[in-house]
Amino acid sequence: MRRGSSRTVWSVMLAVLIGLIGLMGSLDAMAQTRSNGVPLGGARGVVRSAKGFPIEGMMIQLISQKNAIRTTVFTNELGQYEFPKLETGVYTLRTPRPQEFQRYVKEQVQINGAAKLDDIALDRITEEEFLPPTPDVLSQLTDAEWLYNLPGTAMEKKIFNNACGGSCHSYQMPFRSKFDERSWRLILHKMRYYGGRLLLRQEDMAEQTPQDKEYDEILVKWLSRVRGPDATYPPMKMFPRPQGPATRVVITEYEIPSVGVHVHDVAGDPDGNIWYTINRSPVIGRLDPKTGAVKEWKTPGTDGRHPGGHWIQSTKDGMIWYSETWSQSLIRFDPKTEQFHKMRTGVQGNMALSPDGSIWRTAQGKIHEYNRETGQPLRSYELKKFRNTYGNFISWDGNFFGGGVGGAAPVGADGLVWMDIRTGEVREIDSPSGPQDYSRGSFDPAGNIWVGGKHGVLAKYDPKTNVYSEYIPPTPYATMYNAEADKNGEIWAGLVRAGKMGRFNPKTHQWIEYWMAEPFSHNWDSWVDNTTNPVTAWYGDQYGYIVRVQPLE
Amino acid sequence: MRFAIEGKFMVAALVLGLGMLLWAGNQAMAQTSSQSGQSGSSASSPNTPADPYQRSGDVFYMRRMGESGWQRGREIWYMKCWICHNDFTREANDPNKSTVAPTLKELYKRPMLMSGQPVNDDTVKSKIREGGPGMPGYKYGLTDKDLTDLVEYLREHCCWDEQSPPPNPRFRNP
Repeated sequence: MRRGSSRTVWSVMLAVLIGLIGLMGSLDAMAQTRSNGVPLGGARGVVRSAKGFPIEGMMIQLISQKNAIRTTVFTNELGQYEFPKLETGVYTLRTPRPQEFQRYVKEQVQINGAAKLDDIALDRITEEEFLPPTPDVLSQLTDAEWLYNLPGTAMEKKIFNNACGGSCHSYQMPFRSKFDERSWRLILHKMRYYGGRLLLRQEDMAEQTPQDKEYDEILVKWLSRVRGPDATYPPMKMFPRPQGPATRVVITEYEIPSVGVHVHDVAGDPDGNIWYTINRSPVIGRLDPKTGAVKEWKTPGTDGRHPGGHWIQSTKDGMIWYSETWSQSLIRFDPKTEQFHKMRTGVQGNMALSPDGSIWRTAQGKIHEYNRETGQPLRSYELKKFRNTYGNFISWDGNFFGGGVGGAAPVGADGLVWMDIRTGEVREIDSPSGPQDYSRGSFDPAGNIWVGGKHGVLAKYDPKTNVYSEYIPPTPYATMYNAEADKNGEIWAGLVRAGKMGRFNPKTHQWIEYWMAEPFSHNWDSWVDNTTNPVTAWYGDQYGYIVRVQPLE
Repeated sequence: MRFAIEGKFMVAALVLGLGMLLWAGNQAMAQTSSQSGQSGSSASSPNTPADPYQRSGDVFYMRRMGESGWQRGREIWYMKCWICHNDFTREANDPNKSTVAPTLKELYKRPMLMSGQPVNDDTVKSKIREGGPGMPGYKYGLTDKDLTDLVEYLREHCCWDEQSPPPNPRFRNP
């Protein structure tokens, strides 16, 4: 009996052990539904293929019927997703970029806390690896995927990307069109040789180099071939969905009051609002991210000049500074009194706001500090090589000025400008790899300069070692316009042609590419909120909405 | 007999343990591959957006400002025509140059096109299809539906007002 009792005890213990092992495995799997360890507390569910396989990296989105805010999360390797806790209400549940799978849209989904949503099973649109070029497939392509799929040599595609990668429009525009060679030649001439994003004034054609002419001819012939009157689309191959760290993020999109408007810059104020400029309309706006509420103001215009802003920033006390770019003006706006103070600077584009409140930028061969009442230069420092910088920014301690020199500068190679404001020492550094069309950037906390290049290179300049380094993101044909360093020294850069936001860790040389909920990332300026942990990145898309990127780690 | 009882107990215990294992496994599997019903739609069509919420689809179909008619024509105008036929470009260049595009405000109130043809939907569509010395021809890129929406905009609503862009139908200020 004792032996029997012992066997019984052992049997029960064995059974419980087996059960516990299984239960632990199950709980482990369930824990991963909480965004791999980060409990978010919102609605959750599972996405799998119609054959029952979990789909990793699938975007799942809820659109609030109350305020139209779109919240997007990604499935993990078990096909599980979880939203942050959202306001109780009615939402639309959808798969924004299902790629090789059929779309899923479900209306009138009641969300209340951590609701378990119905499993989603998605059919493939084809069993083939390559997707039929239907409008639905084509409309999901990022610009990088368009270039990847269309026929052509590396040279043809890179010349196109260099010439057209500045984010004025998506590549849907040219690649959905078809023209004969005569028409393509006219279009390219307009796009290439009329100044600024508005293409208003014809530039001096005498500055066209023999290489410009050669490249123009290559572009005309290539576009006439791949998008000529008889052109057809090949079967399409999309890039693989995100995995691992790239899925651990929440993407939120906010609507703004007008359509057909082009958001340029975004920046936060001390109260947690996000301010934005519109590049082609006389409007600045303020978004409350907590509610999606937006207030806009019509900005003072200038007769005969196209309306539209570019740069915007808030001071520590909430005063808003921005540039009316086409009228070459600097404006100070007091949200409390709603008063505008407009100053004509004579320069387009962005300025730099120092922590001490001073305003800086380059113009006509000099680095200027501007008078905050008149908009005229207070003091200036000579540039010997470069005529201008596209981007302008100040270090975290206010002691250094930096700028990226891109194709807009009509001399020499592209590069960077660095200046010690305390001593007036100026350095003008050539790009090691030639023209990269560098534009906007920032200093990191250690004092290094980071600048995004429209030809696809992220540049770093270390003033202590005088070393200029260049980094290229993993997605082919990704270009950059801006690079924003956060408090941890990581770099955030909109990967303009890739439909992604890049996060680069200089210590490990690793990139995380966060997919946007649309195949667009026409990001002219990222703003990083360093008050959150992890940091939060923001940008305004030139197709007219504002995006928040919240990494979960 | 004792062995038989103990054996039955062991079997029962093992069944219990395996049952717990299976239950636990099912909890995990329910998250990954259960075949519960799906009431969302999963269809697509070659001619209309498969998902009305897709921004890139709206851009692709040029329907951000309207699904059809002059409102959609306004978007086609803004995306295809504005870049040359705007007042600011004309002011920034010599308006007498053949490469400077004319304004198309009140086009349908004019006695004739620059070609001498009368102004009506057919002649305007033909001009857009064929282009001119400084104008691309859109006959390969714009459909008849696109042109119908565009001329409707040209006829009664042209042209784009930089000061006052159209309202975003998706925006809801809470």
